[in-house]
Amino acid sequence: MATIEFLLNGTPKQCDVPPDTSILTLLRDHLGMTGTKEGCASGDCGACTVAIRNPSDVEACFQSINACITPAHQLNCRHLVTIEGLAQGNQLHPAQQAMVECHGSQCGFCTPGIVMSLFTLHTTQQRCPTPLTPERLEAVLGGNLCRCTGYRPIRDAALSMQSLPWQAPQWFDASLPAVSAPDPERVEENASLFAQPTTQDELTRVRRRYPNARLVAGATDLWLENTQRLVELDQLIDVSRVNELRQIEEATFQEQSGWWIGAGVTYTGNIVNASPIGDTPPVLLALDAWVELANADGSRQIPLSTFFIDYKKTALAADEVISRVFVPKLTDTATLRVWKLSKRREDDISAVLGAFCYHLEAGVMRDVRIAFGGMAATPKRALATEKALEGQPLSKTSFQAAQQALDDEFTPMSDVRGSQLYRQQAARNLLERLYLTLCAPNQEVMLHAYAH
Amino acid sequence: MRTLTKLDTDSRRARRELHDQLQGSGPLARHTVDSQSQRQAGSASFHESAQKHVTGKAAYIDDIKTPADALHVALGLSPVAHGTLTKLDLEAVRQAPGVIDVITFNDVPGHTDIGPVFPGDPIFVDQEISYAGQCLFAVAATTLQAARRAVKLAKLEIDEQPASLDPVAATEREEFVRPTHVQERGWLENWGSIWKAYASVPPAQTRYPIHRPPPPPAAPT
Ligand SMILES: Cc1cc2nc3c(=O)[nH]c(=O)nc-3n(C[C@H](O)[C@H](O)[C@H](O)COP(=O)(O)OP(=O)(O)OC[C@H]3O[C@@H](n4cnc5c(N)ncnc54)[C@H](O)[C@@H]3O)c2cc1C
Ligand code: FES
Ligand code: FES
Repeated sequence: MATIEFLLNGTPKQCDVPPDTSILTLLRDHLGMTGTKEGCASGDCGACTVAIRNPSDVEACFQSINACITPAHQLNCRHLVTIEGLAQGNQLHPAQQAMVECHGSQCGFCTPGIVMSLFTLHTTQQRCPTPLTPERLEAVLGGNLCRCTGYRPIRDAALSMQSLPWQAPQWFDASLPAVSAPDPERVEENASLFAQPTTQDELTRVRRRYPNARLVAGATDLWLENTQRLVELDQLIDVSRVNELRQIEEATFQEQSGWWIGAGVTYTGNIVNASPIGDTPPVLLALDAWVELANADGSRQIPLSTFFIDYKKTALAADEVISRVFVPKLTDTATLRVWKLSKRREDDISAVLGAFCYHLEAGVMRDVRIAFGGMAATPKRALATEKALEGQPLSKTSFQAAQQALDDEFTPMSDVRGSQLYRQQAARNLLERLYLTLCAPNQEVMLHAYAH
Repeated sequence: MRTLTKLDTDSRRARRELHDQLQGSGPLARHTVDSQSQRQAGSASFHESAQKHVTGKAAYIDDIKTPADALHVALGLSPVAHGTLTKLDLEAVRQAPGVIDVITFNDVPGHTDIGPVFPGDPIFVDQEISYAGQCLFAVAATTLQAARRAVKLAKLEIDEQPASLDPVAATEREEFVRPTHVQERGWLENWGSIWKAYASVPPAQTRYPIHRPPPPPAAPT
């Protein structure tokens, strides 16, 4: 057990729950608040959407999160708003009122989640009104699935709620007295733990003391081990509040200018889970990024391409964390193109992802770096393919040679996202697409009709 | 249909042109209803549960509070689409923490076929597995987590057979779920008498209007 102190719809709360309790379980099972629904328990459907804000940061807006895969302990010192908190007496919040008026619910199961996504949009619009473009609405509602209503009434609600009157309730900007977290160094080595270090030094020391603890950042990958595979996560170290890990710094490293990006943001989880179909690793590989691994004694920097060893196996030692990632800046003449192939446009994991970095010098390909996701046990550079294109003129022959090299160097696997043949063909086609794009620099080659 | 299309460089412009088709930016759905009077065809009323939906007060089965001593059930499901269950060893499941009872096909005293309209829907697999996710056994435990964790301890042996995924191939193999039903058009020997029977019912004796069949077509010569 470990204690969480937070604000719930404006009221201070203190709860003792095991480290692997999700916000959804805390709400539904421990607090008996069943307005927030569980649809998938895997971050896909948005039925469990709630809003969260850091009350000590006056600039911060509410953000929507999936309660089913967010650790309850990450609520420490945060303000959580749930569907039960929106209406004031009989007065519905504009997001609720608009959903009623626009006929935005049928069975109503997805509705609390949709209303919460609209609530965050509403509060953000109140603070800084920005045009509600279709793209923006897609970004706001892309994580909310509705199986009955159809999205048009929901979109209508989003468009019309701003014109309804609303007075922020008094508790809206409530603040929370400072919370004194227990010192993780005092907790017994085998006791359950949710450590929230705030400095890198503290983080690396806690990491060394609890070698079996799991690190958690956004939890969107780790938490599925609990909700899907039912693994108990008894000791957790949260990296998301470490100050050093939240910095972005412009720098020169290995004679390249670029940025050191602190690892407290979720793409580190995307790297460390070493999934062969993660989206950022191929892109970072094509950019020739480096990672910094730190422990209590110091840190080392290695190219990202040497970080991935085998399926879900990385160079990270048991007492290490990723502290920063170096992302080189593209030179003026270089181009990076990334294409992701997945079954849906929103909220889906790729079958194949290709990242291509190069520059054209008098019609000749130079500094070619290509990386693929979904083509091997790890995200991987296509070294032979790169070689086939390096120094070659832009011609059908050179790209055919590159496609041949690609065929020879990758033997992808068949799984639910694509068969081996599909992946091979799709990767070849991405090279074809690159060729067509380069041949017609004023045109964009794209698939614009959906499969029906 | 999938088409590979080259769009102008200025894909922003292209997207703008496609805007109407892609985003459905017509009038708001509720504005398409234009009626002055209440509660008649063509006028929209709010969903009677909408208030409950949007406030989280609509209670679904999962929201009903359980008594403190309620048991939670988790089901053991078939990982394959087609095959024969040759061994179901649930010893470890029974021994798992929090487990109160485990049942299989053999523990059901009453009907084991629960097909609501036609037979053919066994409540648990006896031997034959006919779809992925078919129920093999059920575990009751003190918590849902305990029940779900216990399910994972089952030892299954399944003689897996190929799944039937291609409707055309399945038709050729005559793998039908129900007996074939044929509808035909043409001359029926007793057409005349059917028509006479319909035509003879006085309208006043029927609660619903009778759709009278057309006069019988001429018999083929
Ligand atoms: C609905 C859904 C859709 C998704 N779609 C995509 C998608 O389209 N593309 C995609 O690439 N991924 C997708 N994912 C996977 C996941 O969101 C990403 O991998 C994400 O980047 C993980 O980041 P996180 O911060 O949530 O990681 P976490 O889950 O917190 O951690 C992931 C792993 O990294 C470790 N870790 C985290 N930080 C550090 C650190 N600083 N040092 C060392 N180890 C660390 C953790 O211990 C854990 O093993 C999806 C997930 C869900 C639930
Ligand atoms: S329950 Fe589906 S996203 Fe949380
Ligand atoms: S109203 Fe039923 S899922 Fe959205």
